[in-house]
Amino acid sequence: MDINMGNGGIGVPVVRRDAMAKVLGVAQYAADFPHENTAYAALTLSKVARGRISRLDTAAAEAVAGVRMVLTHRSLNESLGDETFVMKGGHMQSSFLPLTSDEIHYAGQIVSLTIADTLEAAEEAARLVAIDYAREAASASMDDAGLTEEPADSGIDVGDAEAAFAAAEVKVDATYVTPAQHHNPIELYAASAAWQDGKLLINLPSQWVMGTRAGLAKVFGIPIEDVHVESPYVGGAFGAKASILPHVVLVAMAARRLGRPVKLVVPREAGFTVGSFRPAARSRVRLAATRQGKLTAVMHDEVGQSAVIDHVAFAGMEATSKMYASPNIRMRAATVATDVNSPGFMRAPAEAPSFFGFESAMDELAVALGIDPVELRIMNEPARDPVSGLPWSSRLLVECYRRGAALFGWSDRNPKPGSMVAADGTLIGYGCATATYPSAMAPSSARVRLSADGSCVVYCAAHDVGTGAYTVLGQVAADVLGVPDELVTVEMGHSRHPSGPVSGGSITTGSAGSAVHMAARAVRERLFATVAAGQDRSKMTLADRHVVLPDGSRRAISDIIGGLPGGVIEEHADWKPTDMDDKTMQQGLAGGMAFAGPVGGTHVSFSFGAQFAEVRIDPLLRTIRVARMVGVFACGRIINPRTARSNLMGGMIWGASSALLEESQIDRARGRFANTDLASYHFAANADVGEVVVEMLDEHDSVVNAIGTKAVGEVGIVGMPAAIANAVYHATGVRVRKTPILMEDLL
Amino acid sequence: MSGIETMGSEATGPRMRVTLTVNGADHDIQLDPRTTLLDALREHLGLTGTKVGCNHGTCGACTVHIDGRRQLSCLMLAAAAAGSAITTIEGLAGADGAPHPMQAAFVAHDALQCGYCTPGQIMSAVACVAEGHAGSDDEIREYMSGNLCRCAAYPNIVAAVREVAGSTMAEAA
Ligand code: FES
Ligand code: FES
Repeated sequence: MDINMGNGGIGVPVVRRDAMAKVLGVAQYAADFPHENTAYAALTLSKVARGRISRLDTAAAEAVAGVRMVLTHRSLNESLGDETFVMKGGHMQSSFLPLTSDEIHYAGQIVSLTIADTLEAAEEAARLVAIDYAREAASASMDDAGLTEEPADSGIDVGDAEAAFAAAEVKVDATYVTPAQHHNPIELYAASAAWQDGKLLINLPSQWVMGTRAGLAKVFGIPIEDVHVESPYVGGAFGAKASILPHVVLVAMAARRLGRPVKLVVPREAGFTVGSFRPAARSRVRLAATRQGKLTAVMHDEVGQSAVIDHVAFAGMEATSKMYASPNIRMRAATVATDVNSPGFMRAPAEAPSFFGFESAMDELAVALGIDPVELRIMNEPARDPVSGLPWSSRLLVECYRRGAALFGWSDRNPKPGSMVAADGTLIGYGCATATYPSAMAPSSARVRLSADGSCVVYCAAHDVGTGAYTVLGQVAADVLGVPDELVTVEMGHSRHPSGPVSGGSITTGSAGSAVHMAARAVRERLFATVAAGQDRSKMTLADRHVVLPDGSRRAISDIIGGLPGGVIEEHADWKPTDMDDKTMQQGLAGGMAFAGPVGGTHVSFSFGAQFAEVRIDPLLRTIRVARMVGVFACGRIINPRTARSNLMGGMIWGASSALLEESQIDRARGRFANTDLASYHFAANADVGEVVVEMLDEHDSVVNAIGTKAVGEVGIVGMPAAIANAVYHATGVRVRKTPILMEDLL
Repeated sequence: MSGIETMGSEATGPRMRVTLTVNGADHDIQLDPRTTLLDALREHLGLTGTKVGCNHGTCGACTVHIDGRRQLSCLMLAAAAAGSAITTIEGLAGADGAPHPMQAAFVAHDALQCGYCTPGQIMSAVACVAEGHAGSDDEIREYMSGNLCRCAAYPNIVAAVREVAGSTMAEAA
């Protein structure tokens, strides 16, 4: 690994490359692209949760001046390719596409798409689509009576956990629940579709332009090259924009029929059911330990909300089973099918709900043992993955705890609940929890071009959803080529670029970054070969836009490249994760879902973090404030500490928001989400956030990939809800085993 | 009301003529009388820097200035803005194209991630300082809480506003 510091290379806090365009308001998001003669679309959604459409009358809607089309299950009447659910190997948000039948599977299902010359006419007409339903009973909550748990095919077993638990000296057995939640990125779902000569151009906010292209080609039965997906900026995604949402297909279909571009911005309320969500979950955690605090049994039984239309399972056992050394481990998972839109990936989909329970239980065990919660975790640090027996590619969790405890001032903590009280009577609580996230990888391509003037362009169909990828991928190339950052341009988020992976699972930097690294190295090799054929290339370096030869003499890049035909050196690379076969790699590069890791042939790769929270609770009103959060993380090499810090900080605030505010409430009688707007779905606003301290340890991982990076985007949220719940217990002595933790839970 | 002329219905529905003064320039447009200022800016004038996050006055992404005061453009009809001076994110930079100090501070403090809430945050932040509501971090947090940021760049937003408020006060002193 040859890393050259400075120059805007790896490890430098380069200013976000896209920041200026964003603050000036010139960055173009999906709904910002103008298309000549655009028609506007509006949605009508089902008012019932299950049943059939018994009467449909579009006459009043069609009579509105300016209306061009009302698309319903009657008028759609066209077979679409057999594209399927993203978790079944396809690209769709759901295996059910609205308007393909008169069936209603969930409340808020799209029942018509109205197109008009103006947005105002489309919205007026959409309200006039008259529909009656033959309604059937529905269950949108997994707590409804009569629903059954469907066990997962496999669990995890090490030793005999049941026996060890039964025999244990100290034990904890508790159940924790987390609600459904919605991503609610500030940018609404949107799609603009335009057809030209049988080719489809679609603007939508996407975490996966290559997958979207492949999926839409299949749906419309056209060659993959005839679909162009453009998504240079994404206004927040968090997993919501990784698959093809149903409205995208319907908008493209309407545009084709009308022979005119069609644009739809999905209203906030509709986004709750047009897209996916984080399903509700229930965790039973059983932990057993010796009196000295050595874990003897770890058991985790998770039940997750799924959908009747699509089976979705997000158990966190892959991660919780690896947290602590225990000779006996038993993990099980099950799902409950409900009448809801298909749940999907939301920031740390398996880990965030799962760790709330698991890390709360560790705190309960610490209390039962009378051992400090930080020390309990350190005492049970596993030298290897306790499940596979494989070594870690890197794991600095203990160091995270030591550093975090020092930064936070953990030693000031009086362990007795309710013992720390401010002068004005405010109850103070300190809590901690572990965070982790798997470092998986996907195949990726990239192209790097170096011009005679020293400027460098990186092309990759990856995405910057606010994570800093525009900045980071450029830094990887700059590092290899010794180019100053201001001469680097990064082009992403378009399906014409070399294939990039889905921006999900915290994989972009490791995957697309490795491809950029490979392409940049190929450029450098050609540069070296051109300047001095036959010389020892391993002794050549690049610095300050010059090649430094083995004898110390320097040749300007401008002279070398200027003499080449075309005046540029450009190289393409296809990067494959270790442990992935060529066939899977090709599927991935063609827009399929292809992941490797986190458990490889020789190593197990996860990012880790120790998270701390200080809560302040009003002694009478029981209002809860998070005054401080500290997170110390070990995520491998940090390409850009500035953007990584912001990403981890955002994750921690997500965790606090999840702990205290977020819940998609279910109206069980009507089988629907009840709080479908931002006035009633609460997430953290500025005034909810106190001090946030983030530190990243200098961790070197020479195994995980060529640039030594691990997952950053999701780990920040994972431990925070439990850290806050544990702090609430410490402040009040009340153990709340559900989120959001509300003032009434403390009365 | 000045600058408004109602016209008969056409095949495309009701239309009216409105003159909007945006970033110092007058724009004569024909639109459906129900058009919000937000949609007029984005769909009729091509000023897409102003963002839409809810259309209900709950997120702040659509914040603009009307005669120097912050206003949620999704909650105002375009017709109601005729005759007022409207400033959008595109009009904040200086005549020489140099970014407004608040825009520069957002870049300097990494006060954005996805950037979608950012134009609204910046319009609110400029007003927050002008209103004299940036006296302390807590006050900034309170007066910036009408602008949601799902990426949760909040601490960095507070730092950016604090910096601009500090230099504004230093200038005034
Ligand atoms: S779009 Fe106006 S407040 Fe959300
Ligand atoms: S920067 Fe993404 S919503 Fe604020």
